[in-house]
Amino acid sequence: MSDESSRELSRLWRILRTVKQMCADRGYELTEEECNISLADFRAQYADESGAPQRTRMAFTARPTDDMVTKYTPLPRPAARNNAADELVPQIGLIHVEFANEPSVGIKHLKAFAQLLNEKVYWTGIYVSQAAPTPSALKIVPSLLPTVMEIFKEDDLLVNISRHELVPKHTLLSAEDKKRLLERYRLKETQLPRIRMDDPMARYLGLRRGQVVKIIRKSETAGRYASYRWTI
Amino acid sequence: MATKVPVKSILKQPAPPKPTDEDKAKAEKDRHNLNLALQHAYLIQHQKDVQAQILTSIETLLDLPSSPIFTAQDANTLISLVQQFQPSDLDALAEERRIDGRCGYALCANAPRYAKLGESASWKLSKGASDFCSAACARKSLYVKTQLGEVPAWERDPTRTLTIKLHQDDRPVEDQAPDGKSRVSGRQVANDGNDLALERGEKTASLRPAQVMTDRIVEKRTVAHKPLSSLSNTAVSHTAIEGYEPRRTALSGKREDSDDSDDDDNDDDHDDKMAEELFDGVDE
Repeated sequence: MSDESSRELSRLWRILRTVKQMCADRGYELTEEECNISLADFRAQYADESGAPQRTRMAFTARPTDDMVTKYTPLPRPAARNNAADELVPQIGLIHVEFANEPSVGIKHLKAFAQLLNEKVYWTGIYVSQAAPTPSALKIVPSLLPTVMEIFKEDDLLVNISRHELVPKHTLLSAEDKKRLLERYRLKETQLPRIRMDDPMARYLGLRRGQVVKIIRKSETAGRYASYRWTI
Repeated sequence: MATKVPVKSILKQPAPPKPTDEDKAKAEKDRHNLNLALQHAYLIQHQKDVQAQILTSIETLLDLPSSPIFTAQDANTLISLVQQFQPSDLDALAEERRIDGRCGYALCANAPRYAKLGESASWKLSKGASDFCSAACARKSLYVKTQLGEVPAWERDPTRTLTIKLHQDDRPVEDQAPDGKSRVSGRQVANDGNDLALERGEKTASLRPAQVMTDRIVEKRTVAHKPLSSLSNTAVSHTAIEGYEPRRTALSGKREDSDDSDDDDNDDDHDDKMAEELFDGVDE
């Protein structure tokens, strides 16, 4: 096996591991072994005979866990309490992750991916590209809503940022938790501090506009310190 | 006869509370705010619609030309779709076509030079040139690009439409179309001063952003020099101190107070005489 392809292999191994850890952190059903796959196993599964990694083989789909489903279920609206049964559709579903084979990504690639998401009725799609897609290709993403398409660059996924020492723990609050928090502090959601949707940790957790995330930091004086951020 | 007649009370109806001036003003303000918010919302929606339209135009232009040599229909599609573009959109189109393995000029079916050169294109060719199959195509694309309006399509004057012309080499095909109108050369049009003014962004309907240069010359207000002394209108001499002319520099303090009581002061001093000569007419 050439040096070039073995380096590429270990690069992709780290990327796949980060993506799976990210999905597990969001609450999708992935086993511990899948998230922490060893390089030898990765080579056995995803490399072809010559030892070069196959990006198309790395695509995977995951189901949300029950915890995640309850977290993403909206609260019943006071007006529609009578027929609450059909109101409470959890705003989450299958996730599909794909890795781009081509070095540069244009409109056509993302269109094809969007069509795949639409056909197979995936709720969320993650597209991992080798280089940043063209600006006009990125304009497709908002037109797909409510289907969520997230685009990550391979370089951004080499390291799992949430495991870094300086990154505090972020946890998403469910709709009920959010309501309780706002009642407890007698706040409107607009009075909370904010976090941008393109914040690296917000992208990692796939936060949506209006959600509240709890951030637990270490504090020298208080031990732990929790703060809340409203996603904008 | 059993129809129910609605009972009408004989008691005086309590009058609905009259809207006070305060309420009226508040309602008026609310309506005004709502209208303002709606207006801005419509503007943003319009902008989004136009952007989506441009995106679909780029998508259609990706698949041109339909045959190895472009047809008149292809040329017409290009001309009509490209009207909404800003120059940057045409660059985006070239990049998209390069990724798709076509020449950046929408009427050319060849592969871009990037396909042959690969990664080395970034240093062998200038930036953007690798999107095209040849320098000729790059020039043709530039010819179209220079005609595009720099003002985004959603801010343009809807009454004015842009007429885009293809490069000379591609035009005869267009002319063979059944409704071959007499061709007006680009130069001839450019001679028109009106069009030039429009092109420079000096008119509101222009497709270029307002530029720094305007033909309106604003004269600065010139302020005439005024002497600081309000006593005399004459120009201030060089001896004046802050506009005040010191009158008797040679006089001491003692002489100063004798100045006004000059009549009873009989001893004729030399200095005094000098002073009296200076201020002639004080004694008389």
